[in-house]
Amino acid sequence: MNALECRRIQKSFGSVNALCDASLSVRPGEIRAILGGNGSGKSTLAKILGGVVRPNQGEIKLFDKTCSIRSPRHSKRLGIVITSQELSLFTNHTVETNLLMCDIPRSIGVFTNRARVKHVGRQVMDELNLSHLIGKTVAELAANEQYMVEFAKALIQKPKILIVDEITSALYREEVELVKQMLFRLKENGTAVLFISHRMAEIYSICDSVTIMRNGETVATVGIQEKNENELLSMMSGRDVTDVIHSHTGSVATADGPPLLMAPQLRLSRFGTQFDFRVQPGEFVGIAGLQGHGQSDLVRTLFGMRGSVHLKLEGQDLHVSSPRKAVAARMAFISGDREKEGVFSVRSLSENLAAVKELVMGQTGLAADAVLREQGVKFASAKQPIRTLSGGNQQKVVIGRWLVTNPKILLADDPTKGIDVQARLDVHHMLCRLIEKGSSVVFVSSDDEELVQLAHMAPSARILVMYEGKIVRVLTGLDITTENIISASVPRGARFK
Amino acid sequence: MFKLVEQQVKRIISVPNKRLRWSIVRNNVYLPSVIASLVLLGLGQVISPGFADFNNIGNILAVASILAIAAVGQTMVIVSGGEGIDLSVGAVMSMGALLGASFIHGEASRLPIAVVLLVLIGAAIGYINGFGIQWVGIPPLVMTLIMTSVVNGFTVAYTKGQPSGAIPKVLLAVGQPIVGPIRWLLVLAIAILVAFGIIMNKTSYGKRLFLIGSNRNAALLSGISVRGTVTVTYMISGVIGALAGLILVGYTGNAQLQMASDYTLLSIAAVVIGGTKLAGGEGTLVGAALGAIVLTMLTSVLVAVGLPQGVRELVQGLTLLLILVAYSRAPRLRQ
Amino acid sequence: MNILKWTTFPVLVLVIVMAVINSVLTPGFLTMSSLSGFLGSYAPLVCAAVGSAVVLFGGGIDISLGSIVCLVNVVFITMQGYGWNVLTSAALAVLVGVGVGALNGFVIGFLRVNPLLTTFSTSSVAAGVALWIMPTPGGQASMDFVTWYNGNWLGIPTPVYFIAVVWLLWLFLSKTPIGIWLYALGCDERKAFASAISVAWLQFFTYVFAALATGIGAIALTGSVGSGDPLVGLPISLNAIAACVIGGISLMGGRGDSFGAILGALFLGLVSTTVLAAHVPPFYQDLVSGVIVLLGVIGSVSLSRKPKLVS
Repeated sequence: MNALECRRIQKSFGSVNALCDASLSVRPGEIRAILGGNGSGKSTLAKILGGVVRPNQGEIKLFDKTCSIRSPRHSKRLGIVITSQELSLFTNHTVETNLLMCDIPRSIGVFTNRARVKHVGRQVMDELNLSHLIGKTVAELAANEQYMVEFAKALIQKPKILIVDEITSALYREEVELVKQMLFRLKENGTAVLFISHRMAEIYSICDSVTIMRNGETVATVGIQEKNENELLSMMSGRDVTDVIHSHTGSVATADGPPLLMAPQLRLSRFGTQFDFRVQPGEFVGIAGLQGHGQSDLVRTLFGMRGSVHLKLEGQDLHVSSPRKAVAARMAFISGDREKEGVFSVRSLSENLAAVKELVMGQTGLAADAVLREQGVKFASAKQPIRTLSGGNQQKVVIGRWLVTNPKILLADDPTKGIDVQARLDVHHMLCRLIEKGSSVVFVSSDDEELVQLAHMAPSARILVMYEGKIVRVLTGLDITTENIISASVPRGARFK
Repeated sequence: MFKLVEQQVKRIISVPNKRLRWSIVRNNVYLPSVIASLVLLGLGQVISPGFADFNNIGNILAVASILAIAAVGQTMVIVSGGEGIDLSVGAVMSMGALLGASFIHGEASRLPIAVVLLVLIGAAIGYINGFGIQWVGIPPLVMTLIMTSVVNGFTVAYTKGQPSGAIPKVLLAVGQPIVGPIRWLLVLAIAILVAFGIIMNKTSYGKRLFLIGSNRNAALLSGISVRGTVTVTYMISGVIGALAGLILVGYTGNAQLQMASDYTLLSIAAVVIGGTKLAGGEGTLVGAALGAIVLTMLTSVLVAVGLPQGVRELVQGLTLLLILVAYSRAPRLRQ
Repeated sequence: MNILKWTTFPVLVLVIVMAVINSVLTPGFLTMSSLSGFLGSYAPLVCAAVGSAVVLFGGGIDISLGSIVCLVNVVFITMQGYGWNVLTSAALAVLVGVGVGALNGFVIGFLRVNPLLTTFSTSSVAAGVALWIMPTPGGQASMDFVTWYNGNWLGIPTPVYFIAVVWLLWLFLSKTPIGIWLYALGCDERKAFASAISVAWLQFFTYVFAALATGIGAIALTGSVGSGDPLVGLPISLNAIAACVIGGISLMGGRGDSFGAILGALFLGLVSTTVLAAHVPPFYQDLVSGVIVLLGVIGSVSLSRKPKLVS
């Protein structure tokens, strides 16, 4: 008997095919990894099972019974629970209310039983060593704590089929270990688990089998012991990746001389920490660390988004009190959150491209078509609204907006988040060309591998690892490896200090 | 206008796919207003012969002109996004009418001074709106709503509750015909629409306005001055409102307290019927003008039928509701 | 709990300040009879503000409440004119108001039209019907009812019961899971949907509740003015929202509590009484009270949150 069977699921959003042929079957008590690149359709599949997205075609069977999932409510009634990377938590509610949101206990059948909410919530959180969070609102929690609450919320619903969608990427090792134990316990009780992740080590230690997805299709399902890491990655990308991943053996130069940018006693207000920060001309500075440890705050503070900040740019004193001032000093900022902070979605490509150069710096004569072609944007007309482009192409336009201003220093806050592999490479090349012209780049990324790759592409580079709002490690030269970044990101025993 | 409709209809019929055809109809922002106007015109003519003659059309266009002018400011504020909306338009227009009449005091020579004073007062009101919204962080709906009572209070305080001042001939001329159904009012409205159309589409300010409306955060991160641009937009709305009040009093010939309070909601309705989304970042003045014509036409037809005011309001409300249901529904939660 | 984080704290301060000013200007203000009169005039606004607050919690907005007041008032008086007794005609009138709320809720929740525009249209519908039924002010409420409303009942001013009914109704509902779902909905509609909350029904419910609360307020208003007037409630549409904002309730949804709305409404009432009591010349009263409300909102908003540029 299969707990879950999907056959030829197909889904398109407008003209974009998110899923074209997804088929898989999972037995009760099986932990199945779903492995795939960005845009391979993993999350869409999860959302279809969760009832949030309606499939165009295909058949879903639960415990050998065909059913069409009509709504999130229906999905939950069928025993399907999803923990999502986008989090389902409400920031204005307490942890325990969130935990029991989907099945609120009542007294005399009518009123919310607050005592029971607290009690049940505490039980689950105890098992996860997190009972100290009870009573806090979700808004007060750190990112990793929120992800653990999200996981706890799933456990409370006693799922028959559990879908874990990339929540482990923001967790500490000890927490991942806890998640693993819980998943094993569910497995013993016959729960089928779909484990969506891109962390190979976790997949190997947690899962029984793995389904690989590519371009909206399930290309293969294999037992976890049957293939090694490189073989899986090759299947995932459709080409041989052995060399790409382990090719960075050379050293990376470190720049010296007078710095381009100095930020003496830079203060991160959210953490109350202070440190000196500098960038050399033509340097690539990667900022690494677990999510939410001040990487984003660092670049945002430099760009004047957290109040006034004192900088020295090329030896000149500079008070940056707003992004506007930063732009005037020829600084640039790219956000990874395209929807909220990047694109003017209803406006045209040329308007998006000219936003800074024409409207802020007052320069005219921007040849939109030429620039778009040069950046490798796939487009029909510069007049089309930017929302008609794919995510990767949108981000290229946003980056192009800044490149045409010839910035002295470009700050990037995880700019390749959620865009496909090819667009990501294009973005890397765009940034490298900028560095070659003598500009500097400060680059925050949640992907350590990406930082290492970029460091090796740049003429000179450093990688700073952050933890709780401080720079805990500076990696230079031969030390720039993913292993070093990871080990510096999680200081020993930090979890229990 | 007829030719335009014919072209559009031909284009749509030529599309082979039925679903695609319907989506073109749905996505064309001007089409519903144009069709609605023509249908209403025909209906009016059937119900009350003479409805579609030159003089009456001239009347309708003149009344619609005033609304279209008022809707210019509203359009710009809505385009600026961030839940932007100006509920003080009606109060500012009433103020413009009463204070304008009082400034001029029946002497044509004082008209320029009155205009200058009204521009200054309108700008000041808009500035206070912009300040409250951008610096204090009060939602536009609430800020402009409270400004409504402040402005009304100011008008009462200034006029001591007694409208005064005769309207000079120069100003009364706005309602006079030039050729056929065309009156000075229409020419004035077209001139204002063209001027602000150029400001919105050709100037740096206008381009910033659209970008800010589309995505506030992205605009801020691009170094665009969001606060300044938004504040200027509310100031423009204040100025246009005050001047529209002056024009209104020229058309009606006498000023009354709160005479233009209906224009707040009418101007929003005109903008929405014209296809502008409340989300901001998109919108056209032509659409707002067409919306103004539809609304005025609807009122005229209802008056022609001889319905009491209550039923007119009822029908207007239902009509707007139907338009909303047909054209501005949010996407489903389940994708 | 940190008192400065409590969203109702700023309005509490404002109300106390205004009450103190009032009792200084009018020595007898804090007596029972004066308070009873004050509550009699502002109970309708308080009821509507609580209704408005519930809609705001869920992330919606309702600007049709004033028109609902007009409609309920007119229906109530008309029914009484036909010789129906007070209770039946009041119940029927409130039911008519709830019907408008149901229309709002259906169009917003199920047809997914923007709430501001929807309630704007339905306010024209409701006000139109009121004007149709009763083109000019007139009619007379039963004298027994008016006397009862303007007096005391069981030793407590009658208007208090109206406020209490509406507020307790909400408190009751807020203790059920609806309270939790509603704040969740106001926080994030998509997440609420993904969490198996019936978004459409919940939205429908908020508009119906707002209409019900407002309908009860309209009965109080009729007790206060004693007759029918198709335009009597119009200022309530926007004042109810202003009361909520002063009361620390966010227009973005998911934040604030109903007590804030009550205090916000009382603050608006106190401003008007203060302006009267301070012997401001008649022509300046509107301006002065407008400016005070503006200052109150500025104070309340800047105390309760800092405008954030980019999150």
